[in-house]
Amino acid sequence: MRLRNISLNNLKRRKAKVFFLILGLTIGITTVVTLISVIRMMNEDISMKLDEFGANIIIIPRSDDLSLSYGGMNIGGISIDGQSLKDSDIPKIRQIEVRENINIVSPKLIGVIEIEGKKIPIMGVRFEEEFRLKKWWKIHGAKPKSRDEVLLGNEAAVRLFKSTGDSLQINGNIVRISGVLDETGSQDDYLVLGDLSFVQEAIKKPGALSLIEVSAFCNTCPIEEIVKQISAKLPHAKVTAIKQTLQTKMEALDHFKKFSVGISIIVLLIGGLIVFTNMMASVNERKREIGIFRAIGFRKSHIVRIIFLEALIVGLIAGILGYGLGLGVSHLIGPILTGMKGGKIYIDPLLAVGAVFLSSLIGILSSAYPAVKASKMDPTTALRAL
Amino acid sequence: MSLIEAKKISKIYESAGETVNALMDIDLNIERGEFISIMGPSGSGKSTLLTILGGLNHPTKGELIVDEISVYKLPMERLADFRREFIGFIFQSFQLIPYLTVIENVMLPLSITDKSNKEQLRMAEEILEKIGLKGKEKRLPDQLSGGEQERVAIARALVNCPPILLADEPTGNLDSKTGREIMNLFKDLNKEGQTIIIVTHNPENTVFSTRTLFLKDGRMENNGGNEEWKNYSHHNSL
Repeated sequence: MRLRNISLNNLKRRKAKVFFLILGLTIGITTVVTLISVIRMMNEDISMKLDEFGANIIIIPRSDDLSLSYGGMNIGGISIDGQSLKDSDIPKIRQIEVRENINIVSPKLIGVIEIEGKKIPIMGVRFEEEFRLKKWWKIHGAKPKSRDEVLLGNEAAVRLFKSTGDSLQINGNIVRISGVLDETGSQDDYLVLGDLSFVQEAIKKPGALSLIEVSAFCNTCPIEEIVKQISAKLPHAKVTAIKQTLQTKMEALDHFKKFSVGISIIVLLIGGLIVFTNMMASVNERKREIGIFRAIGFRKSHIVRIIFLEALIVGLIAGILGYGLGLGVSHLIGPILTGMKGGKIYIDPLLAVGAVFLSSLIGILSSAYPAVKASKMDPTTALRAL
Repeated sequence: MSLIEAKKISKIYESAGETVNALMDIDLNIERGEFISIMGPSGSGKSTLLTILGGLNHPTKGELIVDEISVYKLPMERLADFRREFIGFIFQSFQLIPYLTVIENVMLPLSITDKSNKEQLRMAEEILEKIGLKGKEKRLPDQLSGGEQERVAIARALVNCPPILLADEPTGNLDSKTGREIMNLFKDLNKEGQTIIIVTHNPENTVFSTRTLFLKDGRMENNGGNEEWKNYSHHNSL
């Protein structure tokens, strides 16, 4: 027979009250686990969407020359000093310390060519990377499959009066137009898009790049860190993060996090209050019993231990139930909040331990006053009622 | 030296601005192996004296010495230890813990010692057998008769072999036959050397004790042997 037997037997005796006590605390923990899980899902979803939305880092040559803009970004003096970025720079980007955060690396060379007497901007790309980067592109026709096929921007097609399946002569080479882009509203509309190596040859800048667009997963690593590491690898280039994209993401998440913290605190306070009132009622009901314990030689610390043990058992049960229910609820409401189809359930041991620890802590803290009050109970006062 | 020595013990209660002298200048010596009955009308201070002797109730004045320990000079937690080591208390209405079985109730004082579960079980079973409750270890208190509950309370009080057994109206809730059985059990325990102090309303119980004390209005009217008590009770028509 140990003190824990007294605590366990008392909990078993008060089944209905203990049920509501556990329920109150479980609701609190469920709410916290749900919010944390949903924040995590939203965080990943937003990050994924934004990461998929396009590049969030642009690498351009360091140049004091006249600047040129592409996609709203200053890309340096490419027409004058286009040699400062090279094909050999591309592997270096994938060698940085946080390389697992690098999603897409899309090099580009921009130049101007003359087609049928008209000066048209041309951009050499690696189509595979480019299509991954620009998921919003819609093509009338097909994706280029070889060096001899090009895409035309919507406006470029109008200017050249060409459509899918037509041919173009670029610096003596005949290329086929595999498709025409739907209007994008960007400078892509005015471009002829060809294979990077083909364009490098066509405009006689072998191995040269005008810019490199990078899509990085910045969910687990701050973008500044990625920028810093790429800059160190490419000292001759200017590496710029597209902050606006990140700030929007961070602000949206921050607002939801603050809201969640507020809700969690309120719910946990209510849970704590339920434990407190229940334990106070229990102590008042057990005056006689505590009087007997004290009379037969229990120390104050023994009484405190009995009550804390009860709170701990309740807290542990509520923590385990709350974690399980929280996962279930977040699985149900997560997809609604994030718009994801079939949200994933992450069994996070840290969150599980945290939930059980938090629940136990609330149980014990809320029982501290009732426990001290019980221990200070004068045995003769308690026994006077005997 | 006496096992229990009470020196000029007084207890004053204050209630709603009124002062009640529950006990006044009680001097008392109890030797090892004595069986004391404390008699007196309601409100005479019997239970107050018993709780003071049991280390449960601080006297307003005076000193209590048990086995050369000045009980009320002990710090609070040591006083709890004193109760556990020296006193077995049998309360009026038995006061068993309703959600613990018979054996668990008996083991209660042992639960806060460093005795192993096995040792606790052995001690509890031994005492239950001694007081005639073998076979009822797993029952809950409300599944027992009044006499059996009283026996469980006695077993709980005796399980850790305290030198002093205090009982407050031990037969108060029992029929006369069961009451006599319990008093015989006390007598047997006393014969084995157990020091017993009981508070009782019932003059018949005094025949089992070696000495009877009579309290009236917080004062000790008689502090002698049973012969003195017989004379006293005869003169006062008790």
